[in-house]
Amino acid sequence: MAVCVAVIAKENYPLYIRSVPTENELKFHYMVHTSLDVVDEKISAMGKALVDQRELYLGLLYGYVTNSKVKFVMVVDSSNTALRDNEIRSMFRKLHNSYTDVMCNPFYNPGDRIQSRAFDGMVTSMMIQARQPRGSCVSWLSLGIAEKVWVGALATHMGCLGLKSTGKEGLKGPLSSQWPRRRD
Amino acid sequence: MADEALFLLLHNEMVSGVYKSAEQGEVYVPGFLFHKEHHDLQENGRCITKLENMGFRVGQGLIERFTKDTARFKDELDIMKFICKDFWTTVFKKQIDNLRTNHQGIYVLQDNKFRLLTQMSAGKQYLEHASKYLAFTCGLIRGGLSNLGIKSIVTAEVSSMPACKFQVMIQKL
Repeated sequence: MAVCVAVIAKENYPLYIRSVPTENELKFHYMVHTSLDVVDEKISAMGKALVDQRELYLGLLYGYVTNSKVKFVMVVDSSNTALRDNEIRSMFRKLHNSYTDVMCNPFYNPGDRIQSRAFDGMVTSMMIQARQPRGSCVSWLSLGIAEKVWVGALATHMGCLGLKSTGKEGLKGPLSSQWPRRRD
Repeated sequence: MADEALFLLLHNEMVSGVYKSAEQGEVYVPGFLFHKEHHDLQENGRCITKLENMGFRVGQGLIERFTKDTARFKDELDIMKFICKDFWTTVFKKQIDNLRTNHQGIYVLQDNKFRLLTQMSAGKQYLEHASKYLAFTCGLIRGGLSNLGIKSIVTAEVSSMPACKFQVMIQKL
């Protein structure tokens, strides 16, 4: 039931990001990016086992940080039936398991984009499937601290559900296609 | 019961494999003064680096798997204790015997009966070859720490087999 899934490395650049195509793709990417600040806040407070934090702008935003400082962020559509805490936790667990498998792959260099088909397949199974297929492709550049230029293109054709926008951030149209430099 | 022996044998083969391939890759250039001692030392250094890098990558993957279900670490000392207890137990089926620190970023892990060396000798014999067999484990520790966000340098010293000490120097950025 996820609308967007992202895996962020410890230097705060994305290793993997994928969302259901809608009109305002970049909106998700921006949300994920701004959520990192909140995640960082939570980490620096006294540590608990898992950071499970909720943000209510459009849909719900869930975060999870591993011991190796890799963050998983998931945007969930709220117009559907409300997802229980357990389901979210189990989805993050599955993500973590798949990420561990990718890490143990000797052909994967830590810090690269995740290109594993198995990982892709697992994320696909978590995303929404809907009836009207609509194809769209987004190219998106990100410059993290490590100065990695990364283009993510969505190849899967998936339908989309309308998402309510509260306009809290005043997002109008596509942002400049660069993740702003993080302050640290 | 048998899986300890499996890793031990694989590790020994790995070390001899790396050294053998280095030997075969040696290019003898006629006409130049060929200082065999110096060359050997260089080759030795290269092999040890290769083994350490292997250990590094393996350490990164292993740590990811082991810390999947553990609680978040509070600080550096907590991480070192985890390495000494859980990590060492999972890899070598025993804990580190002694952990010392000067609280300024230097930790010394002492293992009195290091699994990879017990079969080799019980004293001073073959001491000069011991460093080859410790390189992989140094890399293992370094890789594990790096994935947990700690940059470090790990060295090992042996005074009398099978006891050995791993010294971890944390680098503050």
